[in-house]
Amino acid sequence: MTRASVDVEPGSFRDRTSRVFYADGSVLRGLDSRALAEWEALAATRFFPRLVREGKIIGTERLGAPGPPAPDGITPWTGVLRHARIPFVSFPYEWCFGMLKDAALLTLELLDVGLGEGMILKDATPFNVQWAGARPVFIDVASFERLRPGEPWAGYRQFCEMFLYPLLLQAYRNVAFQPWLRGRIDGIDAMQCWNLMSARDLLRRGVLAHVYLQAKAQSRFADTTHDVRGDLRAAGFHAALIKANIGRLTRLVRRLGWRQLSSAWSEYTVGTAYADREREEKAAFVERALGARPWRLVWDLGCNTGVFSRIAAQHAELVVAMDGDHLVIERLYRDLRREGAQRILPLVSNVADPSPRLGWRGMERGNLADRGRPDLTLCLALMHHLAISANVPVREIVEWLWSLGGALVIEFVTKADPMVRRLLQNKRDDYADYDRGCFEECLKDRFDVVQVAELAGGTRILYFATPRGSA
Amino acid sequence: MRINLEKRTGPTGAVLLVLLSASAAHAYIDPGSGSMLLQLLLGGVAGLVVLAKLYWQRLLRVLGIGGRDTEREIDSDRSRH
Repeated sequence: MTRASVDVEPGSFRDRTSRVFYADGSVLRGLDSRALAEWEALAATRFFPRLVREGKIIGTERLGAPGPPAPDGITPWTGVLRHARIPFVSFPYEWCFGMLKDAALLTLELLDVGLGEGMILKDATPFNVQWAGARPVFIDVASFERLRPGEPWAGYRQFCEMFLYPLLLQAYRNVAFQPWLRGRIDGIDAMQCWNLMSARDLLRRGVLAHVYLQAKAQSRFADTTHDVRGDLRAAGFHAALIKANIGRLTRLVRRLGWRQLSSAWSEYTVGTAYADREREEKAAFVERALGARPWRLVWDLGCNTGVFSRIAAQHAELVVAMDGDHLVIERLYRDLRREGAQRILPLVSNVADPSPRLGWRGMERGNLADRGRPDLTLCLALMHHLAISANVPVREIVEWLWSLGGALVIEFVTKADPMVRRLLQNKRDDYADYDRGCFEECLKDRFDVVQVAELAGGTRILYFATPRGSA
Repeated sequence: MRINLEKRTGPTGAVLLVLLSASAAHAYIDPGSGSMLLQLLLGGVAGLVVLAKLYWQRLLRVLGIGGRDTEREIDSDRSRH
């Protein structure tokens, strides 16, 4: 058996009964005999094929042949499934409020529908949800299992820790959840959530039941030696109780809204007389650069309203539109969802502090480049923020962009520009390297410049460049 | 064999449940004892009925009367008496 042709997914190890791996360009899932029995029950339901057709569950088929051997070389898989590919994997700490909310609603919908045919999800985590454009897709098919008689919903606690509390924190306290989920891979626990709320919040929907009571119940019963599951079974716990709770949670989550009117970048518009003409010229330049050839994956850094992502989407299979401001991404997400856009994935990401590798052995959750290097990067109206606000040297910015491996469309904004003057306002101008000549030198060290254009106002220059050598 | 529990009530049903259901826990995540119990309160009136039964069974056990021991219970209550 050649290990080289089979790559195990580093983030898929917690459930012992199945494992995701990659072989020959396919996404495969190995199942042991227990997991295979559950899969067969799932495949026989009415809801499963319907939800796959509707795009809510990832396309899955059983491989007839034995398939590649298990990566550990010891246990042969009893069955192997093949899944459709998600074009770009993302994680909940990169999603905006609306995305986490829709992922939660999808999970609840699957639970509700599954219960109707005797099935339940083993867990309830946003890592089981991915995106096809602006539409959530459930990917962890092996999470479905037949509900045993008298069993409570084992995933309720996890649902609260990973979906509900982050949403409540943002909806009720206006605290962004992304740093919390990035900082602790298992989410926010009940007592922490309660500690972040005040007595007044007890009057708000969902807090008394799911936060306060759960925190108290968990600490009260933490050291119990009773077999609580057994007790519940003996007392006649049944599926209708789970269904009732899921109904409550669905109504609660549906009504959660994040009301923030503006943020640092949400109202950004350039207000000069040249603005319209510059915008048109810029759009035309980007259109020309993109039209050069078809692109597989484009990263739009600092995408703001997504105007250039939309241009890129006409020439690329997928555009990952990133911005560090999560209100901006929230608005973009809502627009994309309304449009039914398929080729743009909006993500919250600060270029100067992007998602690191997290989890077990620092490999469980990869960084952005691990998940898909772009073949074209758009870096428009962003460089001056990196160089002046984030103090990153110009040469390092260019080096990093080169290390991504793709072609580049970049905008250099001179110090004469009002925006740059504003950034320099309260700072000492130590930025000798922030100068057109120096920038072009750094650029030409690593890239071949294909096209250059100066915009009408005279303070902004656009470059389209291809990388030399490989990173 | 699957048992339809939608209308399950009564001691006979509970005995059947205990005898026929698998004892192995299937979840690989920790559901949390408190969280499991809380589901009774969140399950509406039907949940309160089950909750009442739960405490009735506990009471019987404490008093040493009848009651059903579940297969995997670590009986710390009895050891304290």
